[in-house]
Amino acid sequence: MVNYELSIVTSIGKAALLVDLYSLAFLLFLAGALTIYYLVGRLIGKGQWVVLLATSLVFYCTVGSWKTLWFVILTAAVTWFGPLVLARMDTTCSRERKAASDKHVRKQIKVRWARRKRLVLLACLLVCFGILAYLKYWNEILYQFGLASSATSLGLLLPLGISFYTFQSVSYVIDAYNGKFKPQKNFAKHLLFVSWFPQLIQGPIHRYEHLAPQLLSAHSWSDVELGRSLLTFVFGMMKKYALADLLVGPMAKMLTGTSSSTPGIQFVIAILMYSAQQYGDFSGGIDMMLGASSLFGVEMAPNFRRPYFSLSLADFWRRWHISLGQWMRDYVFYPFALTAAMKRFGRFATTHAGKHLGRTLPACLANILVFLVVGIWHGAELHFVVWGLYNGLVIAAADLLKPVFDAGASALHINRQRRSWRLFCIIRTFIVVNIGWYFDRIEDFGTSLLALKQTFFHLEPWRYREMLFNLQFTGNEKRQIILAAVAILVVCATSLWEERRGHDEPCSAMATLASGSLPYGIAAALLFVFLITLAGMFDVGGGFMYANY
Amino acid sequence: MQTTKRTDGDLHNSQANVQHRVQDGAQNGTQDGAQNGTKNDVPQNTRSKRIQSRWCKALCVLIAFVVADVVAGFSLGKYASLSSVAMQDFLDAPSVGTVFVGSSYAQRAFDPIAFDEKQTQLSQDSSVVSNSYNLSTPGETISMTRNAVDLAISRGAQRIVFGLGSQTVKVDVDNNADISYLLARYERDPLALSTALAQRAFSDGNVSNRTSLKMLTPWIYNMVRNGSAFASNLFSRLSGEQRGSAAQKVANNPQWTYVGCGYGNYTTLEVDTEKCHTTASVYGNPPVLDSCMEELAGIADDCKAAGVELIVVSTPHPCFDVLTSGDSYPQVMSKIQQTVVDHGGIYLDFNALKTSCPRAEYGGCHSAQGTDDYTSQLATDSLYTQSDFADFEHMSMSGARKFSRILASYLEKIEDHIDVSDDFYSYDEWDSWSAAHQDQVI
Repeated sequence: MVNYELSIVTSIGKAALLVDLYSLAFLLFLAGALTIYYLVGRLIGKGQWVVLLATSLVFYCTVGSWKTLWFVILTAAVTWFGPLVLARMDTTCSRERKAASDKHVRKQIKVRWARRKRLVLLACLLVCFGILAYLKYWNEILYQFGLASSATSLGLLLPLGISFYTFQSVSYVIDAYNGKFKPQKNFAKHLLFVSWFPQLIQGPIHRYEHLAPQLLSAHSWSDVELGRSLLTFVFGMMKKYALADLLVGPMAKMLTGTSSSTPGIQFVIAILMYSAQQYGDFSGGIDMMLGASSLFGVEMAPNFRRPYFSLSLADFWRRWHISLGQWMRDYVFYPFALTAAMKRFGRFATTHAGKHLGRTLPACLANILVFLVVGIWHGAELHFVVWGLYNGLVIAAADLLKPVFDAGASALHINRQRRSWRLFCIIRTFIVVNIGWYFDRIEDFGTSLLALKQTFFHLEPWRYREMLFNLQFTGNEKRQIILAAVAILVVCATSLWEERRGHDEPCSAMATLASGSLPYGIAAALLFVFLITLAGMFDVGGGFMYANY
Repeated sequence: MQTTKRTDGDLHNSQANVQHRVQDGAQNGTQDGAQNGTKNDVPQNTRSKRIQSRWCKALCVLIAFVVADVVAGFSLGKYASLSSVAMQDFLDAPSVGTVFVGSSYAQRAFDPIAFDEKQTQLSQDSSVVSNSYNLSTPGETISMTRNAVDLAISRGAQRIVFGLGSQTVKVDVDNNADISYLLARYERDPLALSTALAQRAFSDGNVSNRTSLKMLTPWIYNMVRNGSAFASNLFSRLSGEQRGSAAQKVANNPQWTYVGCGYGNYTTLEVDTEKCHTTASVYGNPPVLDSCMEELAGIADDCKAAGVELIVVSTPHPCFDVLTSGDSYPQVMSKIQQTVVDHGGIYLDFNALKTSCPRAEYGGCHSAQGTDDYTSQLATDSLYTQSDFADFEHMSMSGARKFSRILASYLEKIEDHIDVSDDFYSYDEWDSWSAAHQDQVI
């Protein structure tokens, strides 16, 4: 048995911030930063980006820890200098090629400089990922080999948002390598791109050409859509504090002390709670930061698009943690799938197994690799690896079996345009995703298998009352669940509204409320604030789940 | 991942709508920063109107939130919390004599009516005014106790009796309890309440966490928690019902009964036979806080400066609870005693009475007989009976009545300058006390 309560407390402790986003200190910080930012714009007319940089560094030191700031600066320095070196190499290469008279010599020059550029790129990637890997995994690896007393014995401090700013910096280097833009010559401006504070805690992961121009351009207070920004912020707070935080304790209780006599219904309810809790925590934090960033006139990239309305697992991963999915697609999936070896493999498969498999198999392998990486990124533990592989394999299988499914649908005369089919796909995908959560949430792999076994073979829903009796939820825990359920209904209602209108914009419902009649906007804000306030009476919850990833 | 071929427009495929804001933002400036992003072509009067409209909307929103906060506090905040019962009785009193202060140790140990009855009986003077009040509140921290003492002094109290236990000097801040106290204390003074809450919001321990924002909605610290309590609460507030009887309807434990003069208690025992709680098992042994000792000294100094008699009393616990605390009990209580005496107060520990001790049949939850009957641990000698203790640290209704009469007797002796120190074990001879009661531990 694993002490899940302890692991939850430990994980919350790891992710706890020095300054809570739900605090007077943060609100004052935000108000102060906005005031200075727009005053600078109004009085001086330029250089607002300097205020953003100062704000981001102050945020990092107060919400995270100043002791790890040098990691951010080091990553920024490496990823700033590398592309400048690459640009210099390009210039030198062009000059040498122009000076060469022979076509063969020009080709040799190009090959030589391309090799050197690859080395520079590799060095940058090694430094960035090396820091990340060392801080995240080194202690765990030593512990697994019996060379450390515990997984945290080395006392390595994990910088706030290390994965997110590392991935973002790496995307900058790779895009600069591919010549997508001219590298930034001003280190301070590049540091701002890396350390922009709303994205630090848990993303989204931005591309340079989308974020940098916004950070560096001037903004006016009169252009800020204040209502939308504030509503989005408060909506995110509701998801985090009135939904996610309230479910942590009851869910941990349901997963503690389980055994082969635990009815499957208990695991099902716990995993459904986890489903809601994880979404509320992650997307709630993202919404808060989307709102905060838009107050500065900087629109961040979306990271969630109603993932539980997905029609397939692949669709789910285009709606959940969107920026990570895009990053993996552009920097892992395509580079791997388009390697010479995979192309050869594809041709081989086409010759021996047909066009469909020839086209699909390389993509399947790439998908499995991507999700293996995503699993390992979550943590160097078996259950995360299994979870990642599960997602990769299901998506791969869906791709491979697509002709079979198409033939089956045709034979059964299923009209895939009908709403009933869409509903079936949504429910099916929800089940598939939640099966994956069994491996994600339950830290012991054996116990997650046990939980699945109990779910499928010993569901025993009639033991529901016995389950409640054994769990002995306190009065407060029951109220927490009820309040979280109300918050879930609110989130479902807004998600359904957005989904039916096919909105892609994050929190479009909030934008609509803000731009509509004032009483409706006020009523919505009051509802969110009321739920957040009620949640405050329980004194539960901690930091963000992904804060120290 | 998609198996379709990647195109240049991949980044903006099905998410074209969501990208438009990002693209708009990106296109507002160049990579090296635009010189001027403001829209200077908007006419000045249109901008002024827009700014005015914004201010109006902001004002409407602010008013809506304030009104909602007040309405929520009115309907959901307890009209008659246990703190407000004690406070309102006290503030409405025509005169005050002895005031009992402290946390739940004191709240449930001092019955002012029984105390006054005994005092009158002992003085044999029918003109003695019965004007004792219990101003103690649940979970009250020592800084709030000092606030209560200052209030009592300002209202002319002649004697302050501070009931405490070892945990009193180990907790300096408890927002749940402190806010409840402040809400009751400053119910008639919104400005003072706002100031107190603002100080708390900006304090070092709170400003960087969510407690700071909870100060905007302090009623959540004292909220009704079910439908029937909500209805009763609203009715009581609208009808101006007497606090004591109103509190009986909304108290978290339905067995709380109002007696009078700020005092109420529970009529049932709250023992949990499976968990077998003691002070040591519930609270552990955290260190004594210097800040608490300073507040204790401050209370004594305030009383001395005002010429008010201060009696600091360690309220009775069942013997087994004191025994299971081991050496930490005399160590902590001797510090308290020293501080009180050094600053001019009187200290009495009613767990150290030689003539009687709230005995237990055994000192742990598992007797040699193998029974786990927790309630039998609370059995006592002729002074207290089993039902005089509600749990390991609080007295019941009957126990408070008895103890209050005992206390009145001792205070009468002290008033008559009779030395009562021989009635109590000192902490130097705590080994003797332990040895005398060790037979109760099996």
